[in-house]
Amino acid sequence: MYVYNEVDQRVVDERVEQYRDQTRRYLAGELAEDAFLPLRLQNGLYVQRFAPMLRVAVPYGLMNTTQFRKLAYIARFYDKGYVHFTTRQNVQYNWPELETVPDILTELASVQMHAIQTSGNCIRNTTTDPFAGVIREEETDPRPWCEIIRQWSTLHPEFAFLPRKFKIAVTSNPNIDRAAVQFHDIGLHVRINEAGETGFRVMVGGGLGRTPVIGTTICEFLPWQHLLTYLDAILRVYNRYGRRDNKYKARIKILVKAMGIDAFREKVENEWAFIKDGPATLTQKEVQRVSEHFIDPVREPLSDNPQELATALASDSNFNNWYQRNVQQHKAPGYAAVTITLKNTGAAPGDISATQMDQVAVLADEYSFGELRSTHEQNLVLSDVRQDKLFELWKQLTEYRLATPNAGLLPDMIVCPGGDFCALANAKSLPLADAIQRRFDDLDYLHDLGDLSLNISGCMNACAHHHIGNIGILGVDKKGEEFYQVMLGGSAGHDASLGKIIGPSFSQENIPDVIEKILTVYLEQRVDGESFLSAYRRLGLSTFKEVVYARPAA
Amino acid sequence: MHAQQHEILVASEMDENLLILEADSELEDIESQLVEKDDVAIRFQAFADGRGFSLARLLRERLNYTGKLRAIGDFLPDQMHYLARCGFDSFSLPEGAKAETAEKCLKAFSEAYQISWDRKEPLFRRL
Repeated sequence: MYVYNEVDQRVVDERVEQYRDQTRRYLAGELAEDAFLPLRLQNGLYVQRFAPMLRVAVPYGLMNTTQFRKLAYIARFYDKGYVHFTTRQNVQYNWPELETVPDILTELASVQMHAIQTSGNCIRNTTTDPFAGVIREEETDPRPWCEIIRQWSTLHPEFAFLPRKFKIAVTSNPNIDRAAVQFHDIGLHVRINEAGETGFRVMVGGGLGRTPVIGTTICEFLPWQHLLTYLDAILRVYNRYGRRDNKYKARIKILVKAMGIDAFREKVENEWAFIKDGPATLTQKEVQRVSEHFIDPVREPLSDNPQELATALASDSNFNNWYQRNVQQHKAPGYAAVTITLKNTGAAPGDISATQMDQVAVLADEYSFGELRSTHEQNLVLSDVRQDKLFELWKQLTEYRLATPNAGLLPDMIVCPGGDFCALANAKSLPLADAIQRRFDDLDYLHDLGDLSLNISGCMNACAHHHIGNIGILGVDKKGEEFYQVMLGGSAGHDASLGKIIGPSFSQENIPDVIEKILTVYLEQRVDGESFLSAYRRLGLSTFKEVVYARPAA
Repeated sequence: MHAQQHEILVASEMDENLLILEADSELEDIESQLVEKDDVAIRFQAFADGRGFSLARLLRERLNYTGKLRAIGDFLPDQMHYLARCGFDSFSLPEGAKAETAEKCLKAFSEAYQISWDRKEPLFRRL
């Protein structure tokens, strides 16, 4: 993974000192509340319902065990002993004290981490496929490009006060898009063309929130040298012409819709013409320098499906269940990528205790070259595990209560913190997630259901991306009472689609029944092992609607 | 790299021959006016409105304006480092802001990744 040089470290250290002084001036009354607000937000500090919340950047989800242990230490020393992983692969602390945040940032800087631009109307953490660099079907490794974008976006002088937040995601996987790039302000698909040249399909104006929009291709193939100048051109057009009169109309998707993609593209190209081939054009040397941080670890020459694995799979059905769901094929023979789902009934989705983090760090050192990844689905990944060690690893994960075999299944939900923590939420999302996990706890049933994404957002800001869950649930407020809207058919992948609302909303206690009815329609009507999403697309919303809203027979 | 001098003024010290631009000014409209005035100012209506940052860079880098460029209106001392990088070299401090804080804010960072008015090459070409 990327290792800071002297300048990278200095930039982060100076940001810590700058923030320390800003906090000092705020506490001394020299900096007004409204002036401190954007400054603390640009360093990831929100003021939530009960306490401040600090969001720490995990650039494109990559961490080493030193960093992971530091995150656990901060959780223990400065917070309540756990951390929360977000859909942007970041980490959140729900209970830090405003006064101690500069010290937390110093701790983070000591392991090459920071909270820069994790909130505020600026360019946020770039995200990617959690299996980047280890999957066979990938065209190329997106991580060096993510790091190049991280550096370009860090403290960008022109784009720190945009009309609204700005999110970029990168994938290079032609089959499965695990980064939901079509739902980002800018989505990049790194491609290799027929001539063997690297470039980007650039998509713009995707997003969720109150106005969900699938991104539009603005450039089919942007040669790699031009990545940063092209991003500068898009951002400049957005910064100058994006709406600033209404925060709900301020994202780039609204500008692209209002102008139309052709007029928007023309404006970007006009801007780009002036800076294209200028000094910000990327060099082979720089791409090479960054790429050298992402070379493969020294793996053993092994073969797939070793005897140890076959024996364990045949003898232990629990291990087999976990293997079926939580183990991912790897580009290197004899290796696998392992998903540790943070979706255990009784704990909030995405949460992990500091004790478990220390345990996972030991396992990552032992089995996966000392590296970890966080995922858009709020899980963790060990990306380089020998297949003949999987059984051994699984036994230890089981002991630490981290081997729930539910990756990609219904209980592997994406859920926002909701009304329990967030001041914006209309409804709670965590108790609902818990009720669903308790209702659907039969493993055979869940494995039979197969791939199914369930996303729960506590309000229309859509932090849990409910529009792109196969089943999406949205908390709404009806005359002071919490209700939940259900939508079906969303997909975050290359076949991106937005869910459709099934009908009138439900109270919390009815939701598990409603989901059960929806799932029964699927199980009864699916053909040839089609997924829930495929069945939905074939059957249509009305088939599900009729059953969900059917009056009980008299 | 902060070779150029930055001028910090308190709000009352405004000189006369100043072309004041609003954040939504278009370059076509500015070009003809540039020759008539000595100095240019960009007015910030609200510190969260970042359009002035882009306008400054366009003035400097597109129209090759080399005269004095002053930030006026509602901006924060904490934004001055970014403002300077975008091409501002004069700051008419908002009421209540201390010159001492402003000086310190200007020097918040000693390096930067991107190209800007004060750095003609990105870090990766200077390494």
